[in-house]
Order: sequence, then C-alpha cells, then structure tokens
Amino acid sequence: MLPKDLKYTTEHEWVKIEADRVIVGITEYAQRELGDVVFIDLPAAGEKVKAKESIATIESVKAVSEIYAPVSGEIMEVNDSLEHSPEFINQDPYGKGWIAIIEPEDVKEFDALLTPEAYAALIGEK
Amino acid sequence: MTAWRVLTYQIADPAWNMAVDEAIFIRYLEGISPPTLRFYGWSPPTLSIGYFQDLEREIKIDVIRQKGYGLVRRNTGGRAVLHDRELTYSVIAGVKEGFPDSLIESYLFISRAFIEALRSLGVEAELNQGAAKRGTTGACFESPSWYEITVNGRKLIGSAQLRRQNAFLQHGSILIRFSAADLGAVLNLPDDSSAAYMNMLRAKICCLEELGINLEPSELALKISDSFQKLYGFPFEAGDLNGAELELANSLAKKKYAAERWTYQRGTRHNQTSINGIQAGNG
Repeated sequence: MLPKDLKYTTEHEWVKIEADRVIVGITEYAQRELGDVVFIDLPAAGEKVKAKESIATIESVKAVSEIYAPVSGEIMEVNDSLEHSPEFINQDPYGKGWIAIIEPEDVKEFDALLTPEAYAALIGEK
Repeated sequence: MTAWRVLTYQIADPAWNMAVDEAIFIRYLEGISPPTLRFYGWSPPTLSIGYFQDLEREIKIDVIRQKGYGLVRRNTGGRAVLHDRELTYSVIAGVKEGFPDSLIESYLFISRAFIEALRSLGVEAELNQGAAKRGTTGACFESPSWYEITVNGRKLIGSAQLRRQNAFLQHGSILIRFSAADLGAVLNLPDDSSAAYMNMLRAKICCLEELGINLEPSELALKISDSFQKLYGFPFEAGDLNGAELELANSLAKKKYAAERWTYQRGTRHNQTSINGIQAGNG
C-alpha cells in the first residue's frame, strides 16, 4: 500500500512535504525493483540542487541508478546512516531509508508531483 | 517500430570498449542514437570492475599487472568480470522503444533473447528468478541474481545496468571458456580458503565449452542478434557508430576510462559528474 500522506515522482521518489522542508526517499516499488542496495553516494548538506537533477547515486546488486531532486532548493540534511547501512532503503524505504531533506525554493514546483493515486496508476498498483 | 542498430563483434582495448558503451548511451539520451545491440571482445584480456567497487581492497592489482591483463572500471553496477574467452554484449534502449520503466522488465527482454539463442544451440538455459542478494566477494559470476541466465543452476551470463532518465545501458559477459583459477587469482579473497573458493566458483559458474558448444565469439554474436529479431519481430540492422558517438567515445576513452583517477577511485557522484562534464563538453 502506498502511504497516502506522501507525494511521488515518475522517477519513483517519494516526497513528504512539511512546513518548510521536504523529505525525500525512494518508494517501495523502486527498492523492490533494484534488489539489495549495496551502496549509496549521498549529496552534501548545503548543496544547491535543481528539480530533476541527480542528488544521489545508488547501487543495487544489479544496477547503478540516479536519485533525482523532486524540487529545487538546498540540501539541509542527509541520512548519513545509509553510508553504513544502505539496507535501510530495502527494509524501510519510507522510514529509516529516507535519503535527504531539502529546503524548497519554490512551492509552485509541488504542483508537478504525483498524488498517491497517480503514482499507483503509473506503477500499475490498485 | 523503430529499427534497432546492431554493432557487430569487434575487439578493442578496455578504455575504448567502455567509452563506446557510454557514448552510445549519452547520444541515445540526447535523441541522436538509435536503440543499439552491440557485441565486442577485449584485447588484452581485461578485468572490469563495478562502478562502486573498492579496487584496492577487492582486487590484486599486482597480479593483473604480472599477467598483462587490462583493468577498467565500468560505469554500471555489479562486480568484477574477467573478459578473456567470452563474448561481451551491450544493449542501450529505453521507454521510447516501449519498455516499461522497469529494471526487471528490461532484464527480461534481454534474457529471453539469450535463452532463445542458447536453445537454438541445444542448451536448455533458465531464467534465474531468485532474489538479488549481496555476495561476499568481488566476483560478479559468484551469485546469480534475478532474471539472469543459468544452466542447471550455474550462471552462464553475468550482466549489469546503468539507468538514467527512463533509459538503460545493460552490458554483460557470456562465458565461452571459464577458468576459476584465473579469476580467483585476481581477487582478494576474504580469508585463506582460496582452494575452497575456487571449488565454489567452479560449482556456481558454467561456460559454453563445458556444455559442448565450441563457437567463436563472432558466431555466437550472430546467433544472439538473430534471436532478438526472431523473438521480437522488429528489424535489427547492422550499422556503425555515428560521428557524434565516435567523437564522444574518443574523449571518454582518453579522459575517463584510461585515466587512473577513474579506475582507482571508487565511483562518486561528484567524480562522475565532473568527468562527464569535461568529456561531454556539458552536452
């Protein structure tokens, strides 16, 4: 089941919108597709990012893929625990597997994010 | 239906081989290159390592030098592969060709064609459907992951992917002859149990010669491209690299894949971005 309080991207990131920040991770669907995550290269706090640009590179047993910023802004915090425990992404993608917190630059960009229903349709879940 | 391009079997040096795959992928993302199926071999025999592998911890670099092997870091995931008596393939495609945006589906598309080609050679290969799990050492062939190709549970083809913007580059190695001793010699093993480790490699990995198939890599490549065409029905036409790919491949070979900075440093996002920036001239 997809958490209803989150927004999503076509690149399989989830986004939790809070008062003045957004938390980003990858979805359950994405972690299942990737298989065991073995390594993640995280951005640095303070880095400026643009929507749809890569913020992290993730390696699973079979693929190297990019994680894209859902919105433009500044990286406020990254989940350093993933450096030692990348498996959190598989075990708890919506919780301990969160990747970064971004201070958004323009809330209008939120309009481009997918609702849980739209994302469910994209991945073929009911 | 878009015509696919087939780049027929050619042997080249390690930096060129990896640079061509990446150049095609970048030009494909830019809309310049068609979906492509490519076959190649390596001179000298080369150990390729995964994008994030820790070279100095996992690989015996001195043994590689002594044996005169090439050494290159791929930009795809996965682990070390010794490209000696084998056929390497690559596939560059994406959602434009009607692929669902799914890692597993793209693996399946390619695997089915391999199974078909092997069947035409009298080999009953299977798609491994087990979960993808972490291995313990540096060898790619050690553990079959989902939708990879095995014969009697032993891995015959090892593959890895890079995904960007709903498109993928997948390349992999089909073993014609396999030597556990040669592969084991270049890996830093977790303990002193190297004899046991070699036995494990022999038990888990098979090759075409062992299955009674004696084909040259170029002949095997033809069988595989025939299978893609037969299975999927759309045209696979022999072609060449275009000018934009050649220009980028030249630059990537020199500045990235032949450079110590790329080979020795475990991949980082910044490393990748800055190197790509130099070579691709920012697009």
